[in-house]
Parts: sequence; C-alpha cells; structure tokens
Amino acid sequence: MTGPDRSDLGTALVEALEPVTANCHVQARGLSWEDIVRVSDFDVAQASWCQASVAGPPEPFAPDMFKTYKAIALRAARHLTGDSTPTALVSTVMQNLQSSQDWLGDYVRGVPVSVRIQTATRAVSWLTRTAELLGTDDLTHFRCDQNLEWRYPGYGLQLKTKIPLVRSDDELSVPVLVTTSPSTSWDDSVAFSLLLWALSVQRSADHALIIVHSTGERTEVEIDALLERGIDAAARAALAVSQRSSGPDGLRRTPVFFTCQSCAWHDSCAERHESASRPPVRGGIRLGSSRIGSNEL
Amino acid sequence: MTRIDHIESLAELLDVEPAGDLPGEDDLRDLRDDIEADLVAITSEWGDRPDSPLRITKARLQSTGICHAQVLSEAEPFVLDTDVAAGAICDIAAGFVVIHPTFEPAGDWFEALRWALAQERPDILELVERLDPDQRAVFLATVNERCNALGDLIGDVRRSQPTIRERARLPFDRAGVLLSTETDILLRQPHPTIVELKSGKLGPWVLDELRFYALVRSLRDLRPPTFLCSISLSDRNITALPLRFDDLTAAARRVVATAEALVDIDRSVSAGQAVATSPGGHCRWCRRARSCPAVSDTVLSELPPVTMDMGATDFGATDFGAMDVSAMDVSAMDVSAMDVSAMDVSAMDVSAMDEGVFDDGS
Repeated sequence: MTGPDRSDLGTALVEALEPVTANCHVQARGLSWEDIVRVSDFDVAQASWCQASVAGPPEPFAPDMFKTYKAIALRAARHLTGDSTPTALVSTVMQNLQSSQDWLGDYVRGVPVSVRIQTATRAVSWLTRTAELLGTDDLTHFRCDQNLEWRYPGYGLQLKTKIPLVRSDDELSVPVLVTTSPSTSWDDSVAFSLLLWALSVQRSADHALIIVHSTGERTEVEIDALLERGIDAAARAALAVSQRSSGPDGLRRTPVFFTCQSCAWHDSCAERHESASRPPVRGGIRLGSSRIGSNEL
Repeated sequence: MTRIDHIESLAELLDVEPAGDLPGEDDLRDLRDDIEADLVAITSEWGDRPDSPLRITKARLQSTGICHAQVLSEAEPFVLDTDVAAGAICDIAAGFVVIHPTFEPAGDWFEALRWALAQERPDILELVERLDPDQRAVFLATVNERCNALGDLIGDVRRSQPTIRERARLPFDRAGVLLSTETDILLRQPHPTIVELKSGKLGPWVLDELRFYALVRSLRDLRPPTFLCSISLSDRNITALPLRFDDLTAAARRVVATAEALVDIDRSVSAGQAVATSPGGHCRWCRRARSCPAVSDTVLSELPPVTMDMGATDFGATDFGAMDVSAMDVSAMDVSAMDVSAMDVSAMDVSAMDEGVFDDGS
C-alpha cells in the first residue's frame, strides 16, 4: 500500500482538487451542461504531455471513425464466442446500428458507406488483437464499456472515464485497460481510470489487467499502488480543463511535436518557439545542425 | 528459400500447409539475447545520447543502407507526392477488401473512398485538389487500376482473423533501443502470415521488410509467423515464402548494422561533423536533395520546380543570422506561385543579402 487508504480516497481527492473549485460553478439545481467542468481520461493523458494544451477552447464532440471504432468493437465483444469471428460480429453490430437510437446509431446512419467500412475495419482489428492478448476467443463473460464518474461535492466538477472490459474472478471484478501503444501519458490515464474505479466499485479485485497491443504486454498492476498517481493526474488535468475559459496562465507547458500542431496556443507559446529553434531530435537521434559532406560510404 | 509459387491470392495461401520446421521458442529467446547484447555494446559508449529510445523502423533500415545523410531528411517537412498518396489509398482499400470482400465501388475507387480519406488522410484530398486536370486523371486511373486488383489478389480471408495495419514494438530496455513496425495485413488462422502490400512493383527491399516485421513479432511473442507474403498491385502478383530461421538472423544483422549507423549519425551531428553521403539515383527521392552538395547535377536537373506558399509560414522562431545561403542556387527556383503578402519580415536581417538577384519592378 503506497497511496491513500481506500476509505479516505474520496477525502484525498477532494483535497487535491480543492484549488480547482475556484474555477468551477457552485453546484446548484439546474446547472447547465456547459457550466460543469468535465475531466476525462483523455484530458488526463493530454495534460500529462502538456497541461497548457488542455486549456484550449472546448471543441464540440463530433464523432468520427477514431472516436467510434472502439465502442463498436466493444459492442461486438459482448457476443464473441469460439463460434463467431470479430469480422462477422462487427458486421452484425454495424447493421444493427442502422436502426439504433443512440449516438453510435446516429453516426453510422450519417456517414457514407466507405466511412462505415473503414470504421468497421478498425473495430475488427482492435477486437481481434484484444481477444488475442486476453488469450481467449470467448469474451461473453466480460462486461464491456463500463462508464465511471465522480462528482466533486457542491461544485460543478466531474471526473469521468470508461473501463473497456471488466472480468469477473471469484465474484470480484477485474478492470481490463487496453491501449495500442505504451506511453507515460497512458500511464497517467490508467492511474486516473483506476482511481475512479476504486471510488466506484465495491467488489473489486486488488489488481487490474493492462494490455498493450503493440508490445504484447499483459501486465497485472496493483490498483492501490496507482491511486496517488491517479489523484495527482486528476488534479493536473482538472486545473487545465477548468481554465478553458480563462486561458493557460500558470499551467505547465511541454512542447511535443504532434501535440503542438493542434494546440490552440501554437502561435503564442514561447516554450514551443524555443523548442522549435533547437536542433530536432527524432526517434532517439539528433538530426540538425550538421553539415553533409564527405562521400565515405 | 522455397517460394510457394502456385498461389494466385492470399485466400489460397490459407490452404497451404507449411513444409519446414519453424524456429522454436529457445532459438528465438537466444536470438533476442544476442541482439540485445550487440545493441548494448553499440550504445554503451554513446554517453550523451538523447533521452528518447533509439527507434529502428523499416524506413531507417532502408535509409541507413542507402545513404546515412538521408536519415537527416526525417527533420525536413513531409511532402506528400502522388506515389505515396496512391500507396496510402491502396492500403486503405486493401482493408476494405479484407474485411468486406464483396465491396465494389459504384464509380472509381478514389470517389468511393473520398469520405474515408477525409477522416483518415485529408492531406491526400488536398493533394488531389492541387493536381492539374491531366495529372489528376493519371493519378485517379492509377489508383483505380491498382485497387481493382485487390479483390483477385486478396480474396476472402475473413476466416483467418485478419487485422489491418497492426503495430508491433519490441523494446530492448538495457540498450535503450526500440524496434517498431506496422504490418499492412496480418492473418492469424490457420497459419500466422505477414503481408506487405505494394501499390507499385516489388523492389529488392521487400524481403528485408518482411524479415524485419517477422523478427519483431517473433521475438516479441516468441512465436514466429509461418509465411511471409508480398503483393504487388501494379504487377498483379503475389509472392509467398515460408519463414526460415535464417530470415530472422539476416534481419537481426540488419538491425544491429542500422543501430550502429544511427549512433554514428547522431555522434556526427552532435559534434558538428559531416554525415557521410552516398549519392546515386536514390537522391531523386531524398527530401534533402536540394540542399545536399553530393547530389549530382543530373539528378538536380530532373527535380520538379519548387513552388512555395509562404502565406501560412511561421518565421517567428527562424534565426536567419545562422542561415548559410552560400551554397544555395536560386537561379532555377520558380517563385511565380510564391505568396509573400502575409510574410512577416520585420525580424529578418537582410543586411548581408545580395539584392542584385531581386527584381521586384519597383
């Protein structure tokens, strides 16, 4: 046990987020959707790279293939048995979504056939690899796509995440988190998700299963060991999200090539300009400030 | 190496039984240890290396084998050309055929994929918009011809549990080296198969690429793929080979050689020394062709004219004082399409500039 005791977890989180409440509306009846500060696992991962980038103006949610394929794969996962294949199940889910009255149904009906197929292609690949790493072709005993949220008492501040798969071991639930590639930002996101899990789920196993598609890792992690990191990650991201209307003053800035490309502060960020003036490093080697010359090969 | 030469589609490969023995888990573990020992030896004296792991990819395997200086082009802005765009469209179309083998575009493939491209590769749509009518017609015809070959060359492989563009990474933590790949198509059943799709012809690099993919997956999972397969859409042929342990050892040698080359390049760059060049026909495809003094005049004369849209360029962080323009030949530069109206030149030190080459009519 390296983090806060589970019985004190809510208190520890309230204390850590207390500075953020200065930027939040006092919770009152009828607080509108846009007046609530919502912090997702995605925000946490982004804040882990660069806190300031999270404080950009909020963009309305617009589903595309990248935001939908996992949800579609998880709807298919519920029915995956040894007698079915990911390809056939995803195809069935896509057909059923044509008449589904939810956001995924709206998405599927609203896009051309090529986008539907491309989304399905990604969903099949994700589900196939996930089942392979779980070492089973039967996922019917997993719960899929479990939403978790936690609200700060008295304020319009909400933390939320999704646990893609939940396995039952001897009546205890084991959260299964899946990523395509490992990164430090993913580690923060995992800690955040397991924090919300620990706050919400009573009959939890003491460990979670982490799956990484690209490296093939299947790691069991002790949930309690990550809770303190989860609280820190939540506080860092929540502060950034709460400053979306006021700007990124006081937030940590960490220029990262791809994050900076889409950042609202791209033009005004002194750290990015400074970083851009340094010789580039790509894939572990320096590539700039050198002459090309000798013909030695 | 025994080529499986009687198959005409990927689907037919599903019915081929492997003849030879595959490398065992102990062989793979030993090979992984050997590679790690070599990589540790290479990187142990590399004291002031950057923090991030040394990444070895297919592209770096190739570029270090051609010309060390070509690796430096990774820092240059990526410029999409029609060959790369056609390849990317074919990759996406292949995913369609693998998952949905009965899919047939109502019109041409590009139009059928337009909305998928808008999400996945909007830069391709922008490129096609910029092509003149003749170029566009040639491009669309090429894409159509190649994608039309996909159905016959792939067939129905859904029972093989296929995946598309699956990434694989193999870290060697003691050496700080990461092998990274992305496989076009991966079949799992009945025999694991790695498939590389080429929209053009199969060059001599294809086998090296397949071996590299196989090495990363074999050492990661301690379970090798059974077959290596390449598909050429322009030649409309498919080639499949059973994996042998020799393929993996050959790939291992390339990985070690690539790591050595990359460390040498980093050392040269950080010491301000010249990076070795090896000019040749491959300079035509190098992003540094215009700035590399080793490039031949013949190749330079064949390069397309430069057109620049400077309106969106951010010069805020550019240190013009350190810019060496002495070797720059601007006489052949086509500046007719250059929009400099939005360029902020207030921070530009033009005191040393030879104004004689400018004729702005004023």
